[in-house]
Amino acid sequence: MAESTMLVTMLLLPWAAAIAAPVLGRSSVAGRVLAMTSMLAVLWLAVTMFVAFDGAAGTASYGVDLPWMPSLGIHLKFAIDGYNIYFLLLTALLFPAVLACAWQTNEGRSPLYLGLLLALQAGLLGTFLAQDMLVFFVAWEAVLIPMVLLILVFGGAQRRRAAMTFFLYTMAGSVLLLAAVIWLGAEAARQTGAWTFDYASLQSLQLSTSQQLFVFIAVGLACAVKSPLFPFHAWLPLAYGEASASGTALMAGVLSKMGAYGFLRFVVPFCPDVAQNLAPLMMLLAAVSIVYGAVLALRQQNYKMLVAYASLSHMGYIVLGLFSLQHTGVHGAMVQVLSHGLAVAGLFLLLGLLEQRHGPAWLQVHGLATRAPRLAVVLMLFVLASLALPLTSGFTAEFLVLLGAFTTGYAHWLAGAGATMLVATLLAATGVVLGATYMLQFARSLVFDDSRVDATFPDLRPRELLALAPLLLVILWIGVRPGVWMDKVDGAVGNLARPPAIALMGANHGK
Amino acid sequence: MTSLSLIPALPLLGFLVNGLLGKRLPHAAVAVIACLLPALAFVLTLGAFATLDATGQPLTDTLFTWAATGSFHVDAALYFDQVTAVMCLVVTGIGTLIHVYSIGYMHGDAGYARYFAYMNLFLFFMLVLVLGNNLVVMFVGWEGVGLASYLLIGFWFQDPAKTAAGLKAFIVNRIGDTGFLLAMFLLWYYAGTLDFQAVNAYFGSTPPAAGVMTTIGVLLLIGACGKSAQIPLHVWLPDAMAGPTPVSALIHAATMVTAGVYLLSRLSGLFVAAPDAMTIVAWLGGLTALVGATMGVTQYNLKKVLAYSTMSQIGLMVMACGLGAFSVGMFHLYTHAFFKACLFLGAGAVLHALAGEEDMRRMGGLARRMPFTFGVFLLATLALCGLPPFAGFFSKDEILWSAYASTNGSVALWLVGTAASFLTAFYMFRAIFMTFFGASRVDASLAHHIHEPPASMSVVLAILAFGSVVAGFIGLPQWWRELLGVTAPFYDFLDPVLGHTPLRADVAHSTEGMLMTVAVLVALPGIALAWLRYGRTPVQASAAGSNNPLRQLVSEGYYFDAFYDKVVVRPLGWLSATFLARNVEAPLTAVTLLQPAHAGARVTRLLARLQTGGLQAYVIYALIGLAIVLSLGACNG
Amino acid sequence: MIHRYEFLLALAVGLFALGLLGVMVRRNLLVVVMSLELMLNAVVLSFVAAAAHTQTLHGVAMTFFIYVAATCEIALAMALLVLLVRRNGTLDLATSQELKG
Repeated sequence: MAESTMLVTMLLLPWAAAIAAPVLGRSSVAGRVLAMTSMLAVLWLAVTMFVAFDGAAGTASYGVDLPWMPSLGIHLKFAIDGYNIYFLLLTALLFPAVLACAWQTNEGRSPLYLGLLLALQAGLLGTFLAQDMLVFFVAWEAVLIPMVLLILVFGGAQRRRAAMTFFLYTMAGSVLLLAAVIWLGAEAARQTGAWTFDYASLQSLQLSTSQQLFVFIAVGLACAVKSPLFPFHAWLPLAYGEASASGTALMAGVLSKMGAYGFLRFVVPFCPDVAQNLAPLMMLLAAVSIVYGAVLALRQQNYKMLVAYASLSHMGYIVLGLFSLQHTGVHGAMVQVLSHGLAVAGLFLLLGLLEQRHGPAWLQVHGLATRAPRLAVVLMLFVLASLALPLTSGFTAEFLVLLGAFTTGYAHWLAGAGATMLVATLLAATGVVLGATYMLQFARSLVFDDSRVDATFPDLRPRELLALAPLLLVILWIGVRPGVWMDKVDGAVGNLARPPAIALMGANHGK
Repeated sequence: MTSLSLIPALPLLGFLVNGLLGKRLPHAAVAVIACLLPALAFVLTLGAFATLDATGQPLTDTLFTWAATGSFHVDAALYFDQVTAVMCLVVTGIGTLIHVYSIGYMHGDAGYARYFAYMNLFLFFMLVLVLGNNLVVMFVGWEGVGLASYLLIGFWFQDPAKTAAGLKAFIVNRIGDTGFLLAMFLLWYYAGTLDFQAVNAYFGSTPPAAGVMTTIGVLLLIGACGKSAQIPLHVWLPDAMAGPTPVSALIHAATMVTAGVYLLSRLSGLFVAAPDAMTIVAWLGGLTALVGATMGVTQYNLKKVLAYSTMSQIGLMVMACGLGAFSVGMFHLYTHAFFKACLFLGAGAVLHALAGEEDMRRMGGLARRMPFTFGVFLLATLALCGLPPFAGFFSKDEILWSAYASTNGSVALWLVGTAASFLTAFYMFRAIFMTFFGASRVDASLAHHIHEPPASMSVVLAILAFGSVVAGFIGLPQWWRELLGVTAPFYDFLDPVLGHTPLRADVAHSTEGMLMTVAVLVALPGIALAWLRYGRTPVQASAAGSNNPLRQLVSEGYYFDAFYDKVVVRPLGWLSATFLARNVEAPLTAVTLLQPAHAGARVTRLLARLQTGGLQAYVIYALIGLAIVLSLGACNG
Repeated sequence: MIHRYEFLLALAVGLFALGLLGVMVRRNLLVVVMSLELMLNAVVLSFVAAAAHTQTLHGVAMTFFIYVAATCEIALAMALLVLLVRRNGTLDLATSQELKG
């Protein structure tokens, strides 16, 4: 198959399935099978492209470029490059797992659910693969619609409120994003004489510091809301708490990564000078997010809220690593994208499985280790990945992030350029201890606490195990041998990294 | 894959087989798999040791590049030199023995396969820790043994207290690990590599400023404190006794807790260039040795006495490292592994006989019923107390000598070590008298149940007791070597890596003999005092100890736990549940979410009033709009 | 002496203003619709006047379009009126304010 055909197939398949699956109706299993087939095909395509992708060059491949509104320079341009390859894989991996976990539920049988799920996937793929900023924006906003409907139709008791909050809050964040996108197009017209929203062309614009500041704030705010980053997370507890397991898994797993993606795709490359100047502030904000989420997670009685605040904490590492603007830190941020996406989705899906088995009383479930040992083992593995145990992807990510942040912070401090980054790194390092604390408390209460015996329920079924196994496999693979994965994005990371304020010590840095 | 990478791979295989299939396998198969694979690892280690001994060249095995970007490069690589060899032999050797012991000890437990899977997992991580060629690989093992320890402490998870102990162990270790991580970052910043050899070479030849060196040293020490239960991060170790006794023997006595000493020795080249950090290490070790010993004095729980003893003995090893006597620290680590494992397993035999009773006030007179167990326990105790010619004597004595004679040493440090020795003799014989002598205070329902351990356990006890007696002969002190005209193979073996203890020029050689005599003599009054207090007079089953405030202070562990609870745990809980949740999160939600929403709603209501529904109003609006557009057009054009 | 063309335009403006006033102030829906027709016819008048003045057919053509549209509109408007009368029993505009925000 030609490269561009593969990409177009991948982009259109979910749309086609989104239209076809609901048509097949509620009663038959055909709708689910069709949806799953589409998702597996996307996964297969994504894996194929991932394997074939040459990361060292850092250039785009599998490109497709169709004119959409040529007079304004808007093109339906999509491609795979080092920036989006992890995001693509994450999206492709999570959707089949989510559907497989919801297979037997009322939710999974609903044609609307299948349609929304597929539309969501299509929107996410468009967001991550778009190489034209206006197309990116359209896809970015298009993701909101199926997500809000997923909350609104399949959510909990307060679902209307949650959907409304999520929708309005993220919309408000996006308003400035649109302004920045249009402004960038106009600026391109001013500088080159022709309107364009092409990513590469926009990146080569010469922006003054104040112009960069505008783009930084406008795009950064949208991303900070989406991630979310403290103090823009007010929508998170409600939305994560009220959405169904699938919804929360996807929101925390992939949708939150849109924010991270915006930061590393647009904010840093478009505003290199401002990014460097504001890096201390961003790192501090990230560190505050890490500690804030972690401390709040310590005393959450509700498992879902605990994981929600843990998610806020873990997203902080991505921003911390990215704004270290240093090879290891940016790599760590990239790995954390995958790692957190898989681990948090796994946790939310498992909580969803508990909910399926136990109904509304699932929050009082204890002692999984005796009642459902397989479920307990799988849950423990996700917990361990979340608390960054070595040999899981969480460790690779947090280690690289903290190493990068520390190197930058320490170099700045030695050079007399302020201690903010170093302080932020040390603050973030306490998250390592806090993370272990809340995660193991969670495990103790849910998995081990055998004192309160209640009704039994079935262990993990083979179908559910099969759904979660790929996530675990990738988590362990990245933990044991991250080099293979890091090579895929090394070129992109090289573009994002800036030389540190002062040279690193030691002869070995020179080689 | 060379034989070197097979050493950790074999226990991993055991973990996978027993972990995945163990439930379906008969117990005998589980036990065979779990014991055979570590035994094979031990044989492979012996082979590697033989190669190393013959060639003198360290073995290396680079498996793959773990991560590489920019100037950062870390390999998944194994390294086997003399220090590794000692650790590896201890881990696989003692590890295998304790696995064999466990066959009998865990007999009939519902989680038989799970237990052996965890034990093999522990061995895997411990071997990764020991064999790692760089700090990252070591850290993988370092946290991994923490996980295994967490799982095994909370092995009987039906008891919430046990899972809480596991949780505590992991979290306290994580604090130490954070120090380790930060030290690693600094090392990378300066040296640009995390390979042990390159790090030692870089900091040995071109050390950065003294302040930086001290910082690195202290951060590494924090890491070591967490894992090796040194003050102030020792609080998890007594609680860790909640795990099955063989676990306490393997993880919390012989191997994992000594990882801190291994870390310090591994980076000896760096520490030698950081004199201030060395002094801190030495004094912290000495302090832990003394404080740990005092805490052992007031305990009534047999396992906790041994736990505090472990903490105290590791304190001595850390002190040795701080004195530059790294090979002496390693030697004590090696002898300690024998006698402390023997003591724990002996205690395990007692617990096994008494159906899990751990309180010494409900023991007594067991020497008659369990003479074999008593015999091995006594031999190991003598070794621990440092009486000649048992193993502990040679290693402990050399540490005390270093405390006095090393360039970093002092009389004060020697006194601290000697005081710890005195206390060690006292609390160990107190334990012996309370457990094995006097009238039996065993619960009547258990009395008929008392029996010697089965063969699989006794064999292991005998081997370890034998080791406790003879293990010290390969590391005779200088003074003895000259007297007997023999060499010390242990020190000679480690010499290329760890070197000799730097001695002060002014210490007289004859002093060594004198100090040695004092060290031995000081143990005797300890034993005598224990006899007077606990051996001669019968112990009351309900003895609760006096209300003496000093005693209270010691038996409460110097209120470390209470202090942490007040200063760390409760404030964090308050911060989480009260301050952040109520005073920050709620107002923040109000400011960023609710207030803008309400403001929006107010504006909407205002604008809605324009929408009267009356047709004529709309016509007027249209007219006004038209007027504005027309007038704008007229103005502009 | 006012020119014929200017007179016709002034007449159209006057008729339009009369119609607009009727739409704005009258409460009887039938009268409002009649006023609307008046406004339309004012526009038609201005077109015809312009056509006569410039001696072209554009304006005349426009009247046909407007009458077609007006015919359709009046047909719909009358139907709506009948429905409203049936529902409300009155043609008073004040009773039909359901689009109130």
